[in-house]
Amino acid sequence: MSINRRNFLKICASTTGGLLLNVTLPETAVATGWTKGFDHLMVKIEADNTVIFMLTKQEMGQGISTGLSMVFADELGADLERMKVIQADFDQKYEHTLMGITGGSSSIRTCWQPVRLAAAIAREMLIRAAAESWRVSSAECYAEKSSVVHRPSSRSKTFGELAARASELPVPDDAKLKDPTEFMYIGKPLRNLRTKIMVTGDYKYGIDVSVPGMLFASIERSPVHQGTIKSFDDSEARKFAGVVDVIKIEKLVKPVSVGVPAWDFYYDYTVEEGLAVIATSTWAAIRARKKLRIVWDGGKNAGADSNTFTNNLKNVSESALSVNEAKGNVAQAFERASKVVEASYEIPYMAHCLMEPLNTVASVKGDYCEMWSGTQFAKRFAEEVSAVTGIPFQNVICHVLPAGGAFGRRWEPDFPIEAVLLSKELQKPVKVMWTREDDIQHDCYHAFQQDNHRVALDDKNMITAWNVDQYSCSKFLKGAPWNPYSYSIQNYRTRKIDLPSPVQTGPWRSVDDHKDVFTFESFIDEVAYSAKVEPLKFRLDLLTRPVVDHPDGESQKSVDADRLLTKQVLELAAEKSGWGTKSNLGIAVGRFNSHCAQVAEVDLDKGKLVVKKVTVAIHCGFVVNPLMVEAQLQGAVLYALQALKYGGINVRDGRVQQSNFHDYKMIRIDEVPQINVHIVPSADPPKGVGEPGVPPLAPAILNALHAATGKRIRKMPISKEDLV
Amino acid sequence: VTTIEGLSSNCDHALQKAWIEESVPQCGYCQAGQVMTAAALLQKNRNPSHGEIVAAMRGNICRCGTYPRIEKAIEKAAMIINETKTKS
Repeated sequence: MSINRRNFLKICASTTGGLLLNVTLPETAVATGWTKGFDHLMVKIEADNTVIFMLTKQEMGQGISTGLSMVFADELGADLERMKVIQADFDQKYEHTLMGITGGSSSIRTCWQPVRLAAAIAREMLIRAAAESWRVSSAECYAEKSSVVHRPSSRSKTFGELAARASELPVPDDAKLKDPTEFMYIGKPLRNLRTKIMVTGDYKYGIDVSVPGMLFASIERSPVHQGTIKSFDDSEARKFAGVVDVIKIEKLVKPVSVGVPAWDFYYDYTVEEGLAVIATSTWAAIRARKKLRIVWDGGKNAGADSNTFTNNLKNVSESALSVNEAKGNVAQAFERASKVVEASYEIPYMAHCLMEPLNTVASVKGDYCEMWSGTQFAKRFAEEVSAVTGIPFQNVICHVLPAGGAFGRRWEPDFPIEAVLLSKELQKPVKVMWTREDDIQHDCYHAFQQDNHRVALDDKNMITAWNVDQYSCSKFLKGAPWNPYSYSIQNYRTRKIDLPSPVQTGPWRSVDDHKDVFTFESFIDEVAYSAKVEPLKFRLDLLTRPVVDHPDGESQKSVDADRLLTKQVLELAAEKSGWGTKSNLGIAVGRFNSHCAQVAEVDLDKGKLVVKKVTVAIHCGFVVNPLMVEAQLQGAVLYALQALKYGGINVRDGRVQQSNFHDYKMIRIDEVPQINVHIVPSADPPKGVGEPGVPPLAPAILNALHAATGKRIRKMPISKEDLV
Repeated sequence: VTTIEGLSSNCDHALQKAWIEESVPQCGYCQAGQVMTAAALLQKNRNPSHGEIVAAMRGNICRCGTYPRIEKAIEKAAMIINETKTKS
């Protein structure tokens, strides 16, 4: 691929005499709809031969600092081991529009091409500088291990020696990307580059940030979502040693966010009302906070109760549902049906439970704000902070710190706003520290949802119509995208109702897919049994049946491609799991950008569910690092297993009942199944692996449980009673 | 009290080596605790079985799901320790 000259904003010599490229790539150069301009990407080579890679994505455990470094080093010809990786801050001055977003399993997908292009340009300039100095043809030179080598004479010069000269050259418009056969790092199972600093205690997270003169805040928030303070007495708290101040944070409900118009994942959020105890240490702030006396007004959510909430759904009339998507004649198909199968599924609120509790350091001085946060979405944080405080956007600097887990929680701007509001009031740096209890009780939860599925079968036991009614508290739900798995259904309809939520919701690893795949893939299994067809065959039949009336050839082509991938992962998971040879297996498939199928093998041991093995098959395009893919998928399986076994946030009197790991259990090492990951080889552009492994797990296990015991569980989490 | 910083002066403890070798961590936040619990286990038991490893490690939560590699790394560290002891 050649690179056009007009794609570059500028090249300038860096202050240290090295090479600094600010590369702007056009949207068309980025093979994804996620990117709204990858404006600047810096390639920096210091005179001492240090190659610096600016990481524009947050490291939160997904391994992106290793993955993208591999991509960059490989294309540049740099020595990966000696390369320096710097986390790029979000700063409007640099116009890093994409860099502030880490989510949707999109990092490799969105950066793969621009990072390679930028590195290829730099490589070409370094090679030309070397060739000129030796008066040879650049075609005789290549870059390797941060040096340029002249092949015929074996002479070499380091990038550092060449950087100053290279920076004076014109930008080449014919830099070529490497052929995959030339890759040194990409595609290899390389170990995480950060392990060493993690096992020596040198790795710094947001929680480790300290700035001079910093005060600490612990906040008693309204126990009821969007409640307010009726009255309070902070006199005892103020007497506590180390307490500097007690500051009220007023409830802030943002109905619609402004910002990137193209970004349709912007939505409302709430900063809960509360009293912040400001002290000279976290310990003093947390202790003094217990001395606060607050009378709350719960407001509209004061009486919210999980049980009545679920019961109330029964009283929602059909007319309240709005049709989301429809095709064919559903009513007629049901009239003519030989058989109708229906079932209702329910999935609860669930917490993220990051190991590192939420925190942010903010320092506001007049019209200037600097913050340090482990954020997935620095741009949104900066925008919201600007909107809330009136501080000009260009004066808001957000430093992005590595996170001890994120899973979607660090997408929400409530916790940085708290820190900024307090710092603005005090005109001093403030670190807001959440406790584990704050974290579980004031999360932006995985949404509650109930799906009522209904299908019509003809006399040959084929599905002729499918209707699903979704009752959801999801902020995202626009109705399940039909058809989630490319099953061929002639007549279908999705209807939905957006329920007011008594708690705040937000993205949770795999977002709506977790709910939708659970209900769709559980239900299709039920339909298969009802039709007396083996469940894998039933799915494959629906995937090979011609799609009746696709509007045009192009979409037919994409549907076919999509169906092929679904088929491939189903068949691979089945083959590797010994499908058909055991009676305790269940299968399910999902598609979160990457297609992923899973087969679970289960047993009941004295009324307890034992998940013995999970076989995962994924098609995620070209694989940058198979070790990272495996780690992400194993992690996704365990994340989903926690939800199925122990998930479920309950609300009583408007208050979240769970508070810590004793009543909101996590998966422990002694309940980990064998997890085998299989990757479909592919030369397609990379897709994503952080989330696709989550959705298929619950239905695969529940389908396996049905195969093994005849029990059909339609509600998460699994309860003891379910298994009796 | 020994913390992760006190485990070795040069990242040369068998567990640190094994952790790097097996590329155990993801976000890394729980890993100091995991390594130190494993160190306490190996101090008492140089050849822990699968059952003994999971019993010793079940108090440490990892949300990223690094458990499969934690177990492998502990087995590897035990091997490294035993090899060193045999040689000396």
